[in-house]
Amino acid sequence: MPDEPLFDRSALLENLDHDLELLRLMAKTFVDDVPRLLTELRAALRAGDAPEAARASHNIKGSAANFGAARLVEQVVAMEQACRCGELAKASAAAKDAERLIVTLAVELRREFTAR
Amino acid sequence: MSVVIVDDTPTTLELMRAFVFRLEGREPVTFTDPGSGLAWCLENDPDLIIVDYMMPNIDGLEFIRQIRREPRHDSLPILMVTADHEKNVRYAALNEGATDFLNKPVDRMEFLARAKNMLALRRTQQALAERASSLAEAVKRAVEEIHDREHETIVRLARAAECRDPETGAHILRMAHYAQLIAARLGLAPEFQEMLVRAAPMHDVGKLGTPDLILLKPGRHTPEEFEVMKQHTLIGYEILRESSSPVVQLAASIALRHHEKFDGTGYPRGLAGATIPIEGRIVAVADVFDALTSERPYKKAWTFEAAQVYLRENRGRHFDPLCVDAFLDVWERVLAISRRFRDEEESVSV
Repeated sequence: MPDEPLFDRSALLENLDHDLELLRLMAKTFVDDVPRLLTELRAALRAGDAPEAARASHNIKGSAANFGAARLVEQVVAMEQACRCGELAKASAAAKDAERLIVTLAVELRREFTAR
Repeated sequence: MSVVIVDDTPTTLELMRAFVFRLEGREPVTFTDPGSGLAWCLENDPDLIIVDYMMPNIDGLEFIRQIRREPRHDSLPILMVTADHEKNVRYAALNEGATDFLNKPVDRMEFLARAKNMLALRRTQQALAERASSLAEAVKRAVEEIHDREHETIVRLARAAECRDPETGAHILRMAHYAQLIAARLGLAPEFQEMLVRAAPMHDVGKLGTPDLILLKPGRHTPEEFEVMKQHTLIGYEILRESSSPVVQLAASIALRHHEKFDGTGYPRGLAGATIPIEGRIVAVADVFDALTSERPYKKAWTFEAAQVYLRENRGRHFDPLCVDAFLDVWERVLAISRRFRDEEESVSV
């Protein structure tokens, strides 16, 4: 299961009407955006700012959903939920797994525009 | 069509940008910062706004509220991007004026169909607005045309009367402008002054019904002939009365009353003072003054000074004192009008 790719490439290509160039552009956009997404999440959790952490989670969820990254979306939904309930300890725990998955997705997506 | 996309998630923004380009063949204007997006939309005229719900500082609901506050954008299509389970958000967005929704994650088929519908709606709105404004323009032109034709008819009628009379076209123009001067000095409404200058030229239209023998007779009329001559006021009134045009209605009143005298010794009814309508009292001064200062086959032109003395002497007798005072008060302008419309100029175009 962990070896199965996060990124649902065929579903995304279908949604993009097989526009490979657009796929590459989106992949690059995501990879470039990862530092910001992670920084915002970490800063909010560290500051104990639950609404801001929820917003950062929501942002990650939206980005990940574009790539059909179901496991990451699931994880982030749990994290966002915890933030909304003010359960920051639970959210921080979920964040660890989420970060790992974000990095995994970024690695998968980097292949799209660095291959060849 | 100008499409704006506001979404703080860069990958989603890229995706929607590509879809809009596919639909319109034209790049949309995109913003990841809702504040800049809002400022742009308020300064420009987009045809469709696609806006995310959850954004920092200004969320989608607040964004839509501020757009709808701008009267120009009250019917501009707005698509809000939300997850489909966020029912309460959708209700709130509908309340703020969202036109429709897009589901997250963005699906190509749905996006293209909804965006296309919104742009079609926009085109229909624009076509209707253009049609409404071109109709309004056409109505305005038609009304102007009617006014012009009405004025032309009046001028032609005045010209017809003039053919039977030794008085010249220049006389008609001078007395009409003198009448306007008096009305202005008396503080009457600008609309009334405008009507007066158009109506006054018809004051002698009734002379069309006066037999040539009497109308064109050189020298004095016998008392019987004078009785016939007086009829031109009543004939003029008959020609002009009951018109649907306010200018012609005013002309009818002038035709009937311009020979009444302030002391009640005029004709046809011998009305006195304020029972003579103001247009009749004004035109009496203007008409007599110009007749005195014009040369006629049977008399030389009086000097302006002599005519001025005559007006003073008949102040409160033949003429309404207020009208005489008003006329003498603007003496320089009287002289300017007499210079502007000399007797050589025969044409009756105002």
